[in-house]
Amino acid sequence: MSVKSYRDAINECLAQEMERDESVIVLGEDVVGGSGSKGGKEAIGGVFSLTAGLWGKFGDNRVMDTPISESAIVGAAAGAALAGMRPVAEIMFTDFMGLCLDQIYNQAAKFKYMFGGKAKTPMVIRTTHGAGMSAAAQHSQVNYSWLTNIPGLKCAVPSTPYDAKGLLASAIRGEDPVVFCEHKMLYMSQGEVPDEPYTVPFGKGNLTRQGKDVTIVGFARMVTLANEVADKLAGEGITCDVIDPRTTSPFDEELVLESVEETGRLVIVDESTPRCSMASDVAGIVSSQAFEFLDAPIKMVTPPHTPIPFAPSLEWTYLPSADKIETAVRETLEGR
Amino acid sequence: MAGKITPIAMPKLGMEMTEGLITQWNKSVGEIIKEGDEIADLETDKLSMPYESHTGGVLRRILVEEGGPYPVGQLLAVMADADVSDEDIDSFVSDYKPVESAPAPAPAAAPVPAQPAGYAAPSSEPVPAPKANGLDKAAVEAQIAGLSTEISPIAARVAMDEGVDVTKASATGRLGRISLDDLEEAAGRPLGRKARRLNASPRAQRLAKEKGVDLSTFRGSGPNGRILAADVENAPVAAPLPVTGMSMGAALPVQVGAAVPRAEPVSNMRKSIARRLVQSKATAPHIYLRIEVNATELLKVREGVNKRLGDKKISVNDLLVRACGLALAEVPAANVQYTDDQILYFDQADIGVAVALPDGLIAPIVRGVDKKSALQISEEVKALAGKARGGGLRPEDIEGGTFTVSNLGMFGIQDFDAVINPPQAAILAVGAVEERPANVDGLLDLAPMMSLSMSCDHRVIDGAIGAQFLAALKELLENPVALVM
Repeated sequence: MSVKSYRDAINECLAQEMERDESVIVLGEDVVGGSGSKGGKEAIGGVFSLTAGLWGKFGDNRVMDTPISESAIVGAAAGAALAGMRPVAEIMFTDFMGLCLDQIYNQAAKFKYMFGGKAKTPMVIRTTHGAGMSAAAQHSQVNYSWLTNIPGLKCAVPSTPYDAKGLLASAIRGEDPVVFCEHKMLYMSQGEVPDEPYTVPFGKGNLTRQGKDVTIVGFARMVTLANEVADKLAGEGITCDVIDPRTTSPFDEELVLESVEETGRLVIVDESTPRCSMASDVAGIVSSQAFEFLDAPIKMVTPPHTPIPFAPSLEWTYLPSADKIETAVRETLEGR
Repeated sequence: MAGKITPIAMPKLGMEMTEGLITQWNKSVGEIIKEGDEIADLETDKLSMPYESHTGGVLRRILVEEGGPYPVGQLLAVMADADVSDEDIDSFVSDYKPVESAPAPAPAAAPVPAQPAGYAAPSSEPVPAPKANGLDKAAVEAQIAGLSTEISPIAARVAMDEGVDVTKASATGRLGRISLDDLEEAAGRPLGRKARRLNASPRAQRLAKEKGVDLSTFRGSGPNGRILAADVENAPVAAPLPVTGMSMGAALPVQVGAAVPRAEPVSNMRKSIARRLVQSKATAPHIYLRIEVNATELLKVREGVNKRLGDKKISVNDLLVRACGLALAEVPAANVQYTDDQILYFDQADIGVAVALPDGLIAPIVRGVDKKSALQISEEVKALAGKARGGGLRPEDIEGGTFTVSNLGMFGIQDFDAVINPPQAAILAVGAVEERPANVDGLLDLAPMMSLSMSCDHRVIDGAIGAQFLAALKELLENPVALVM
């Protein structure tokens, strides 16, 4: 065990899984990571250096730069998966998911079902999501909410280096198509990560803080904000269960329901825009299945229903923050 | 904190209930009782219903056999948490004093909580930890560490807080985890907040707050016993009742929630009664005239007639109906109906005789009472009452008429006022014949007296006309020879 960044944990996982299984291949724009840069082919390893070093170890046949065509990347990956490979495709920004959406939701997600269970599509689409880098409206979004809406597709939203490595290993070793959402703002975050390969199962949430007063469910980077708020409020005797579902599909609703049964209050923090979001989905699950345990209205902390602003001041106003979460927690406790 | 002891006493299921039978014990000593379990079947002279447990625990003592009757408030059984000692239960039983005249919230009795149940306890308050299995936190923690299956972190926390043996739990939760539900199944009781929180809808809670009603002893009518707004809406602000003999400490107030009604569809007869009575009270301004009749001679005449009739009998009521017919003939101004543009005068007395039925009442009409003998009236009333009870009345048996006799004397009612049966214009309410002080030949003596109250439709019968009728009636009843002529 050693402390690693979220980025290094993912990079390590890719290398270990490629080592472990020859059928694992990596493809995407600039995944080899050198074109045009000083120092030759693997100097950079993609725009965020996630695939650095892979080409050197595994060569041209297993680490492939592709044309700038998301549809071609995902289509090639889906075909390779049907043919027995375990491709890990990269879509540089999740904002580009629309370009390959047909390959994802009409093809990859449907094969197993439409071919009577005989077809397997063990593919992973790694992508980056999330705001906070002044990357503007087309390079800052999260879209796990609408990806979660697609049956046959799994979706992971890791919040820690440990989960990033373990969930990616599960995704690569699994038999279903997975969209693996890496938060840009978390790449440099640090955490304990075992050196050896391991898996974290899909659909098993993580209770990151324990408390009695309020349940906070957060997704991706929002988990770190929720933890921060829980730690701050614990100082004044308000304690929170913080749940990181880790994957939005499948979703560990049991953990959320059990926690709400014990606390009676729920705050959901979601970087998605608020309509038809994971926040509204979880609110629906809890209000329909644990209504009698609620002591206060469910609070949702989300951005407004607008595109993401470019100006940093507006972008940070747009995003959920620790202050907004704290306010929501206090509001659910009003009149207690 | 020591465990909780809950007495199971004979509940008061109705205002008149003083005692009840136990037809069956459904649980035996040692059994784990969950909230809502039917511990016993109860029966009163009016109804039978199960005794539902208001809380969870172990049935520790059954103190009375099936049968009875046992008075309201008598201790029947004792339920307690598993860690309560036998000695504590014995002293609880010997110290127990019945809670007198405590009306129970329908349909089931609210056992006296040994510790006050409140709203969901905020975290700043100590969480009651029943520790039914007597395991301490470290022991449960060790069990969890040694589990071959995973356990949900929430279930693990609750198990440690409440000392639940996790090794007995199956693992049917997500990804083969032991869920909180699995843990509850193994413990045989609700755990965590579920066990201590009030199940009330937000609207009910708000209403309760507004009304200052304590919901903790309510039984909700909603799903899973959820207390709904409707349960609170008509709840009286409960007066604290003294509770004595609790071994748990100081006397605690018992608060009683709103009765939860049993809903049944309205029968056609009931609808018709409701419609007609509302019509009557809404359109006919009632005036009430009262008079007392000395029934000495009436009873003598009846006795004489019945002796001669052999196996046939006429009743006081038959004579009353006959007397009303003759009085209406004497005072035709009272033998009328009011319509919007006409007053209808009748030259014969068609009189309704009210018959009580299990689900209502009906007043079939004897036609031309003034022209019929008491015996004929008696036989017709019997036939009509039989048809009424058997459901064989035809429309012409109940339509029209000008007058009705309603007699509650056989129920011991002294006097009462009746609602006019439209389109008629008057009704006579007859009380019981009873010995009362009376002026008998100028001396104060006891005499069989009968109170009559006549309700008149003032649109058509003024007080003076009603008074004339009652005077004629009194004359006929006190000098009853004409009634049997």
